[in-house]
Amino acid sequence: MAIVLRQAETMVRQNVTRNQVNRGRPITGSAQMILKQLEKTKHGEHNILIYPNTSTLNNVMAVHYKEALEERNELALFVTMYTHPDKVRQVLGKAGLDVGKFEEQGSLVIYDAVKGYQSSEGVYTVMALINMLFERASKLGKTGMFGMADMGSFFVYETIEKLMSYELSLPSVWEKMKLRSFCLYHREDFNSLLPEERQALIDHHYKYIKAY
Amino acid sequence: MLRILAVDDEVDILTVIKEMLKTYSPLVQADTFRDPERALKHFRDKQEGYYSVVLTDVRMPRMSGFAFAGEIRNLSHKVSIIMMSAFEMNKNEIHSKWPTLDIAEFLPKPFTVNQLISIVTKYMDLTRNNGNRSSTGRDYG
Repeated sequence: MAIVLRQAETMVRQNVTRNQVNRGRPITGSAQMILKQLEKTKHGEHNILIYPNTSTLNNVMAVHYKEALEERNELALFVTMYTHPDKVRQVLGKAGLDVGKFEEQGSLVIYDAVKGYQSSEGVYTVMALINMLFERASKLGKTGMFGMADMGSFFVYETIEKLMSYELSLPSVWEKMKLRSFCLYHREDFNSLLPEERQALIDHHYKYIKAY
Repeated sequence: MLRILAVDDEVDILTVIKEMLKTYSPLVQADTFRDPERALKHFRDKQEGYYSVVLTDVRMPRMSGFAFAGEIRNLSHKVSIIMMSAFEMNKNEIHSKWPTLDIAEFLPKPFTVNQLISIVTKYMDLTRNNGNRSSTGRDYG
């Protein structure tokens, strides 16, 4: 299976746009390979990750959230769509993470994607949450933030136009923000978009990672 | 006999539904699908009135419970649609966004045997005189 590895996280620091970095070609691989890619991500990157099913996502997510919280000392946010927050807690717990401790500290936040993107407060609720969490991260002495947010609510609530305008309003690179972030798309959702919509999303993110 | 078509992307939920209903009554048949599009094709192939109840998860990739229910409603005005979700459902918001779906019930997951049976009983009463004894239904994966 072809694995196309893409370049240089250092370009984030050089303010190179995502188009120049990736040119729409995916980093493709198994869950194991994706995990290695997650390990390589640096603050500033705003990436897109296409996952084939929730169990693959949960496996990858659990291992990397443990690393983000325990080893990198980051504040971690997970915006979940197809897996209930209680199940997310179970998955993280099975990976050996002390979920209760990190949630109580405020270092781990698990949030419902429908509340984040489809509520009456508007589509920028998650961004507002991230801004608030940055202040908390600073108070807690964290090195930065790691976040994954599932975009599935836009598909379930049939608000694709809103999805496109929201995604395209965000930068490919978080300037001055110590944030590593992934917009998550279930493969079936992503494939239901028009080709030009898919391409626009790919082009707008720093790295395009596809798990199989 | 009461025939139910159930759709959920989580196979465990479908197994639970099938087992609960099998234990409850031989007069209930639950056909289960993980893929809403296959379920839709199956529903379309049956005569109007074959299924009395459609039970669908809300948050499914590719075709959501709302989209699936919309397609079902286009095919039948008689079938009762029950939405199930592990997440909190804002019924008023759902009714106002999808008024034509005419959703009969909202079933929170995980549900107990009693919750499921209580809903099923309600619809069994409505179809009690329909006759045939049942198989216990099929799992269409």
